[in-house]
Amino acid sequence: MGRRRWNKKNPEKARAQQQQRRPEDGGDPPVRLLALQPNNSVVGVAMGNRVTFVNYQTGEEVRLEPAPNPQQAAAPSGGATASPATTAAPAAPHAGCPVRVLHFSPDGHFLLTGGDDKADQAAAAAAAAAAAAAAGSSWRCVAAWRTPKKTSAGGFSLDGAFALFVDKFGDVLVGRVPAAAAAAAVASGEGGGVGAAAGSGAARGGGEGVSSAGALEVPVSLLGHFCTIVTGVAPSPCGRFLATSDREYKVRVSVLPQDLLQGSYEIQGYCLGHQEFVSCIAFAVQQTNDAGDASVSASSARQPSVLLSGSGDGTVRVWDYCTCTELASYVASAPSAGAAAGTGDAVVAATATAAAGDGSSAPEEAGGGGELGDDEADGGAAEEGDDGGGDDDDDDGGNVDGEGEGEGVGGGGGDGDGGGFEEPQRRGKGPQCAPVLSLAVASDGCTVAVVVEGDDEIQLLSLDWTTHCLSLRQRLRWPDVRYPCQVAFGPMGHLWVVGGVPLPTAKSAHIGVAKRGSDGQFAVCTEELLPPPVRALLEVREEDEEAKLSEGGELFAYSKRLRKPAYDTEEMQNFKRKRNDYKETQRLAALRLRQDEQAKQKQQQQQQQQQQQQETSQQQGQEPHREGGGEVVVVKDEGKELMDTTAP
Amino acid sequence: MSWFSSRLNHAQEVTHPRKRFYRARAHCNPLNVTDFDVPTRPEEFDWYGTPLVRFVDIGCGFGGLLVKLSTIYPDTLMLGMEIRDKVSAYVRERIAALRREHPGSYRNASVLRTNAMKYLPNYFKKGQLTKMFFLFPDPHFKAANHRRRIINSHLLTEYAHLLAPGGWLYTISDVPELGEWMVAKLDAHPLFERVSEEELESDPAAGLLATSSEEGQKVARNGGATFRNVYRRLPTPRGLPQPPQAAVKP
Repeated sequence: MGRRRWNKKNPEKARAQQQQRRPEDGGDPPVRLLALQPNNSVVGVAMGNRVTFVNYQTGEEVRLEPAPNPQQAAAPSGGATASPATTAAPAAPHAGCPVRVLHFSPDGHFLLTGGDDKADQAAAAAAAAAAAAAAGSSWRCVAAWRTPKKTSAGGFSLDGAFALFVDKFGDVLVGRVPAAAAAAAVASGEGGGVGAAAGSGAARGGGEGVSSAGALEVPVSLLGHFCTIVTGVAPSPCGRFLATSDREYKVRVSVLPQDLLQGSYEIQGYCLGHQEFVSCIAFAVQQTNDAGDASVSASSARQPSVLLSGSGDGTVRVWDYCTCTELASYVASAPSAGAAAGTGDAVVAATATAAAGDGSSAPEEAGGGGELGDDEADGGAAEEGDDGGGDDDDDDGGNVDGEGEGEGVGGGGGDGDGGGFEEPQRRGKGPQCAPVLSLAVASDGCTVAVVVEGDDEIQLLSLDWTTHCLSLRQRLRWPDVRYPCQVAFGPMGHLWVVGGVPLPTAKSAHIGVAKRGSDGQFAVCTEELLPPPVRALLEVREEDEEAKLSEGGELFAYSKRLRKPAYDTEEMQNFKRKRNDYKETQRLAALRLRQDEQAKQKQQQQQQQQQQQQETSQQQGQEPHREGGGEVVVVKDEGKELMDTTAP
Repeated sequence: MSWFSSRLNHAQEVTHPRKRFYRARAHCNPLNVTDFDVPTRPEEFDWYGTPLVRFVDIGCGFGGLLVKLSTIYPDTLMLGMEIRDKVSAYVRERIAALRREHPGSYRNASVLRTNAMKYLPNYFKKGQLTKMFFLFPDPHFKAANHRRRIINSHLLTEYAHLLAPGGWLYTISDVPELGEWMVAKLDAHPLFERVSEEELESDPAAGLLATSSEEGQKVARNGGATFRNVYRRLPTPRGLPQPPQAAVKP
């Protein structure tokens, strides 16, 4: 009987045989995001479902209006005026799901937000600096898109006319952003983009027509990496190229056409060299004459610029993106084997906890992974061993940098997946080390801030434009910001950082500011810039989370999802066992064996009389199982071959 | 010792590998995260001093096309890429046996076990290839799996990047819907242009498409029709006609 019929007859058995859902598919942990508006003094922090924008000079909070719902659009609210009236409650955008993208356009007019509700990617237009007061400190949404998959990163094109969305399946989508003066109705430009822009099966090429009722638009596919998580997207300063980075250790530089909706069909090249996933990219423009900002200006196209990328192998590399050659590489975090650290304070307690936590979480999820709750007893037990190992290695390797060197110990944590289906062990090609999470380039083009996961210190590097080399200039630590995860440079040259306890259930977000002193070094100045009430708006501090952290409860690594799972042969055999055709093969093989046995017995019983019949039955019948095939069985049935190759 | 001849051994009799010991499941999920030994960069792969590879057979299966092409173009290096372990081992053994049997020939063909959809740029530089072959690719009928089809717009951009201008991209399939899909994607890509039938008649490789591979022979045995589409990579993008307002399903 067919499979479907059998499933109907035995629903319980069918459900038992069904593949269990992997824990990592349950959703990604929330992230902390930081965004600074160029030309203005607004800073935004997103943590999980919460997004807060504050103008730190005036101290007032800026509200974001959610995208207009198609259902509510029946009311003529799509007029040109900001209308908080109809949508009564000023609900946060992407209410209820983690925010993943928070990005300002280079000129500061627009803000792109994206969340796990793959609907509403609202680009709320931030009124420009001067007009902020007029708008009453509330930014309304001028464009909303429905993306087919959850976005993992986003950005704007250089002139701010297009918004780019990137998802975990490798698609880079583009949507047109209306000019600041336009009304809530979005210009239709989608029809022309269909020509070369047909994307993957999930993306809908060509947006739906948008009426002023504010129906959600569908972005057009621009380019795609093949089914891999795209982690960063950045337009080049000259505006001709777009750089995208993905989990497959690649950074791709593509040529952008004039109208992005046409799709990008030409690749400039691949910047290959990383040994692990690439987590962040940024362009650095050398400022020659004036100390002006690196925003869009006619001169920026002529100034030399390079592409920087940070990756899970702990390096930050400098690329010449026109020829796609690697210019320099800086090791931000070295693998635990042999890398002795020079300077830096040794905060051993934090180090050990961080190292042990990372060591236990990243390579081995024997404790049931960071997805599950805190009260996982065997998680604690497994991590005890890892804690010990992590501490030992930390002390031996002289790890005083507070980097997550303990991840190198993860080999020791490889003992015993607990029963059931836990997270697979994730391993990279190179040795394990703490990944670079985020990097930011200052507007002078010479300073780069690098965040290494698990490290409380941020490394400030200086980029030498003659040799294109990166060298460490300073390690900066904020006393009250733990586990920074994103950095950004503000328009005034301040360095902002956001961080927080990397627990999956954490809600805290710490924020810190530093400014460059006269000696060129950065010094913490959080209190000056953010008076306590302002700071309270942005930050969320939860005391118990800090306590949980020092206990060494489960931590998750931000980058865990970006590592590729490595299955050992036993697990692969497990998977195969559930495969339908595999089971069928085994069943048929067993069947044939039994039939062979019976035939042999018959043969032995009646040797002389049935000689001829045996011959014919052997010709037409089944061939016994051959040992050369290993686990693959060849069966011949009446001259017709089963399990033949049907399509390569 | 050239990499291409590294499998040479001095056995007296030449035994060709038998397919029955190398049978493998037809479908292999290209999205699987398997650990291949992929070079970080084309320069870092040890090509053993050979000149550049020019022909690539993506999903070469049991190597039928490769061995036929190898005698027709004896001076061009050609590589087959196959994701299945057993089948690529079979092709390796087959080429080794052929080299023993015909000393001096078949030195220009070899096989790699890798996921071509993900890792092509790791092996080849920009504009290195002059011919790419896609013989009877997996149709992936379900709409949700269309992104796994080997010819789709995003991958065409990559193929255009690796093909030298003027290079040819050969496809053939026995599934009509897949043939139409491939034509639609290739026509919609501004860097590809269809090669006319007259040119195909004079091209030896095009004549091999239908019957050289094992898959093609099976299709011919079953009396199926094949749909051959060959496209040329243009040096500069051509302007595309603007489609009507109806949204094209990708």
